[in-house]
Amino acid sequence: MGDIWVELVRGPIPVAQVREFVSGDPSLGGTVTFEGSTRAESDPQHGPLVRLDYEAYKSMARRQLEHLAHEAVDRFGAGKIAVVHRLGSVPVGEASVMIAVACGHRAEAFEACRWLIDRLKKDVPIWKKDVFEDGFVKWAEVRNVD
Amino acid sequence: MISVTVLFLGPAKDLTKVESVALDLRVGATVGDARRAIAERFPRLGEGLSKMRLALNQEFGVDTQVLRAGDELAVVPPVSGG
Repeated sequence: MGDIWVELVRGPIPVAQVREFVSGDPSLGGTVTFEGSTRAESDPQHGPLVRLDYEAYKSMARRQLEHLAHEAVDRFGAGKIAVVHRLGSVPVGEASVMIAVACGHRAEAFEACRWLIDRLKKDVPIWKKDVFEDGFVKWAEVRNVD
Repeated sequence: MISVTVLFLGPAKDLTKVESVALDLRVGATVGDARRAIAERFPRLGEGLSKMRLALNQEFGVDTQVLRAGDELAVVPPVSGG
């Protein structure tokens, strides 16, 4: 049927707990994890990016993440799924999101993990601001890449 | 009349300068009617509003859905999570 854990956290993503959640079932032979982190970037005018500040429509974000995880169970036959998104400030190099999917075989696990992060970036009500070294802050541009 | 709560999230809140308002609508009003009423009351949302989705009680809605008293309607600008 599929075990699901979704969570919005403040502070670092509990990586060990996420791995632990999707482990332990010997029938699930393929596990894929994805971590998305704040990438070092630089603006010609404002200098290096120092962090991203995330905020969410929390009640709906949780609900949407649950819908997506359930749909991934149905679509890909995933056995266990964990999706954790961090809110608040995420400095360069630290993870803002982690997804772990355990399936019977690797192909579905890769597919499900990719599908989950793509849908999260499209449909889960979370927004981020870019914060630069000189103090300049702006809402992140919405892109359909990376 | 019915009253619904409208939430402005993320970048939308910067344009309206408020996080939420009570919006009075006629009985039988739809999500689409609410969108028009929001556009009138908050012209600063402007054309951007057409790119923003409306969520009814924490689910993405369609403009034909009929609203009920006490509903929570959220203005959801394009998201940038992950």
